[in-house]
Amino acid sequence: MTSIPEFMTAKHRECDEFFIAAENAITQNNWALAKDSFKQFSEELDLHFQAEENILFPEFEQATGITQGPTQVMRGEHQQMRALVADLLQALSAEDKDAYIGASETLMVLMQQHNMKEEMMLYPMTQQRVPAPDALLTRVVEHCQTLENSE
Amino acid sequence: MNIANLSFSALPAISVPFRYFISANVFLILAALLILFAGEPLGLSRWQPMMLAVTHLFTLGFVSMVMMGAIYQFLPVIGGVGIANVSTVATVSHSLHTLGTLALTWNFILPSTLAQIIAMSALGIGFTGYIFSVIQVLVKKLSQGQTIIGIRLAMLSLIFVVLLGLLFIAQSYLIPYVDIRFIADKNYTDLHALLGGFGWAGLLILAVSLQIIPMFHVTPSFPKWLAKYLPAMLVLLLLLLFVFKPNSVAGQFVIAFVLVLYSVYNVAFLKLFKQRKRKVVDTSVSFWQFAGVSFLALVCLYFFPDAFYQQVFAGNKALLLSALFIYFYLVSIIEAMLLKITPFLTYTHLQNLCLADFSAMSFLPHMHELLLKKHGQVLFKLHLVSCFFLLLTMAATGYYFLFALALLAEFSWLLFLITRSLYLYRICLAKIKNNPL
Repeated sequence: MTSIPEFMTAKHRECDEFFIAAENAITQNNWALAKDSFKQFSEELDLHFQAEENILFPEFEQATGITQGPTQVMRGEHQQMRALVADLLQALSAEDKDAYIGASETLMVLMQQHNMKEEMMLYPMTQQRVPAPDALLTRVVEHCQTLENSE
Repeated sequence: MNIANLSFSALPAISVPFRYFISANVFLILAALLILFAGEPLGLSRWQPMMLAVTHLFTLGFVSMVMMGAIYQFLPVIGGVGIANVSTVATVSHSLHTLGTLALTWNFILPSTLAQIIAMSALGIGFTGYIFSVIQVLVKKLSQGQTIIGIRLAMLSLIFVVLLGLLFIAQSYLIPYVDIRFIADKNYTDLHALLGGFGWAGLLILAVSLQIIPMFHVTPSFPKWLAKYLPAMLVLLLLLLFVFKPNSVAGQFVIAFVLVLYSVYNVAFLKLFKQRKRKVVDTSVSFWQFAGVSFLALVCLYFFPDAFYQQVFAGNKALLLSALFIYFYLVSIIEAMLLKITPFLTYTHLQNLCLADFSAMSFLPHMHELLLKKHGQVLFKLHLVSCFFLLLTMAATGYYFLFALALLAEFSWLLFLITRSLYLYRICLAKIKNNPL
């Protein structure tokens, strides 16, 4: 069985793939494809945030007793990324290429520095600190599969 | 893994890295002016005092300055812990580094006891304080990634580079008391340069890029074996040069092996950029690619027979290869990184302020507004021009003034881009502060 860091890191890469597909479609002025890819990206991202905020972070906080530290910062950054996703959606609806590319570069940077902190620190710590990492991973996997099952 | 000190929000103040970036550009503007006024004799030998002054303005004043500034920012993101008392450490070590670099330059041009003492004490105390502070974070073993291991090895190399450098400055004072006559051997100067170029700067670039390239450019990851073994092998080979002296036959083999190993890294990142999935034009990628190809060309040149250098570059093989490595390779990659880091840091600091006041997010400029794409493209063109004139100057020293002017234009432009981003930061900061909660 895979570990929490491996699974969550793979999920980050999946989100990146959809994100890049949308951005590339826009550079080629293919707005229909961009909208499709962006929809997949925002759904994956939302599911990923939920998995962290509702399952992973509470377990980390319970296991370590740290509630105002890293997870709090991660939650704040999720909110900021959601705001940028809303900006991107607006640019997509208006088919405004410059606005989209500007916001997508910003989200890209925010998302990657956020991912770096999670992948290098938070996920490995969660794997080490929670009492039953395998059971926790199963819950996360099941949550992330809800989107695939609903399609 | 220790989590007691973990803090993802431990970013140092924006003034910490930016003072290093701004000073670095000022040092290269100074180097340009020095070349302009020193004139033609500059290109004759790597041992010529003016050439040593210019070389150290590049290595100490620019390359190390930017890298040291970036480490303050990078550690909290990658290791989850920032440097303790970061503002004090940065103020003291940056001031001493600046003073020491200026004094060293002065001492190369107009040797004086006062300049020597200032250079020795300022660089000695400045580097010791900085290295000690960074090591305190690195020994905490918060993250087990290859990047952290690579940064540790780069810091180890820096310790050797600084120790050798200080011994070079101090030799005339210490020799009556301590037997360090060995330091006059030119092999140690080569060691100082090789450890500085490949161990400190080269390895730090390698370590950071293991993380930065796949994430920020959305490429596949570096091969695992490369990330795991290459940094340690490079450092081991470089340290082996203390045993097999650089000018010996065995030492030459070791150097050739270092070049080949480092080429493997360059081929690897060039391949990754070819597999880059993002189609958006990115000037920092052009800088990386230019640097990678330049390094491979440099390695080919290294294996050229001496007759070639006699015919084209007045026999100055070591000078030519050092210039290519510093300017075509290290400076190109640092500019690539600055094009990303400058808007990123500005944005991250503003974004951090908005964690407490979410509604202020609407004031944040986008990355492209903080550093316009066309401005980055101008920088790359200026770099290509200055690289061409450097090469021309190496072949025909009479063209030195063209290189100096191109250098002046390029780093004045980069200075403008950095200060422009900082200006936009201040405007946005004022808006956030005036935003009623």
